[in-house]
Amino acid sequence: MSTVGDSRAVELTWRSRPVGSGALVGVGAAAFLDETLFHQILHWHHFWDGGSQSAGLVSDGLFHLAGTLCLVSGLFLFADLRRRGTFNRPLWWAGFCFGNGGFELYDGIVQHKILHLHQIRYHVTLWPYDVTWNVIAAIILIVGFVLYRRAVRAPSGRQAGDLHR
Amino acid sequence: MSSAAGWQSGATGLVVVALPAAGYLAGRVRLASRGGHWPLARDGAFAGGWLCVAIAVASPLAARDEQFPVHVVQHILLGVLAPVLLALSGPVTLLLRVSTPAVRRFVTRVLRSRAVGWLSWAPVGAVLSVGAMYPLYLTGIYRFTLRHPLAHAALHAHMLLAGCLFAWALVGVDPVHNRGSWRVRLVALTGALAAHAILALYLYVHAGALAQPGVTGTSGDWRLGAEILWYGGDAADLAVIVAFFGQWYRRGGRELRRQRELQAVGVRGAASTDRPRPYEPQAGAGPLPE
Repeated sequence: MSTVGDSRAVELTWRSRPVGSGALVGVGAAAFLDETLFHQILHWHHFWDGGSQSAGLVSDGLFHLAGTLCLVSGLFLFADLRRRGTFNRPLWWAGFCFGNGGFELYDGIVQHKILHLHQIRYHVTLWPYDVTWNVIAAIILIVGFVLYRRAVRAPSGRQAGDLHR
Repeated sequence: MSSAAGWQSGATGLVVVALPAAGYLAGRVRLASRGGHWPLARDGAFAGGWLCVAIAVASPLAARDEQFPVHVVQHILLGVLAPVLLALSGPVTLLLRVSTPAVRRFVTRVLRSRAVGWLSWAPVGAVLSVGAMYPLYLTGIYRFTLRHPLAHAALHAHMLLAGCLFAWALVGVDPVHNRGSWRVRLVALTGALAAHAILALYLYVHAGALAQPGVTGTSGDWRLGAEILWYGGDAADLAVIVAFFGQWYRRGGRELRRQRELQAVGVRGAASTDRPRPYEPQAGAGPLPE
């Protein structure tokens, strides 16, 4: 417990566990929102709008699954942090922003623009939608970075991260 | 399918459905008569899994399973939901608790055998259950099972058994020898669920080329079947994922309680010396029956 390697591991765990849990929930929330709001309620795009490129098939299948997997695993990790008393709220929200903004940026740039899986909406002028989507994603990411910097610098955070109490 | 074949599948269905239920009930009665404790949730899981099997093989649904969408509903019930629920009900643990020492020794020897150990490794279950769906639908095997009643019955048996292998490895509460660490099982689970979703998409997109009207159904049938596979797969995914992480969480809780008890009685360093990574619950075999 007193060796350098151990303390570094504790330090990493203290940061990475809440960030990881938050990021998983963030990705899951973004995927869930996309699925329910745009697919099921607004019907702006269907789960499959593309042709038959196999890269698109694999990407869509994987990301569809990732939503559920991330949300459930992230929430169980969250519960685990709470019961161990190692939950750090700012760090968790920083992770949430990383996951949420990162996923939306991936969806907006890779899935919409590079793989052409689907567009946000059809039969309308597309660029305002694209710009809005990606700018929102970028803002969420920046908020995440700010939260992370503040959480890591705050001295109170370290105490909350002490594993052995 | 002719009405005679439909009736026949009803009769075999009755055997497949009635025998396990009778066995489970007998075990429960025996355990209860001795005053043994058995969680109510396991009874519920068994009843749910049993109901899925019954609906899939013995209900009027089963008589119409030459239609592709009905076949897919059967797949979800028989190959995914029933195995997960049955794995959560712990029937082998029940058997071990109520049987005679000779039977217990025999069952334990079978469970510890090399073949069972190999089959119960999670990635093997993933390939046998989800992986096998690719050749089934993308080659002529599915068409073959529609023409031969025996192959049709074998397909249903395969769905249930392969599904059970995988479900026992992932979330089984029975002692499963060599199921793989949490990490291996998580990778197998992710891979299997992704492969399942990708197959649903593939069938949807290529329904026109895969469907053979008059033999395996119209392209509309296949598209509907693929959508059922996709959305039904979702519901099943959620059940498996919650069960999987729920078990991880409970096991971690037991570990944590143990650590805290050790710390409370003053065993110094209990948390760090024998368990270098306090966040990782112990991987490997399931809980042994008392």
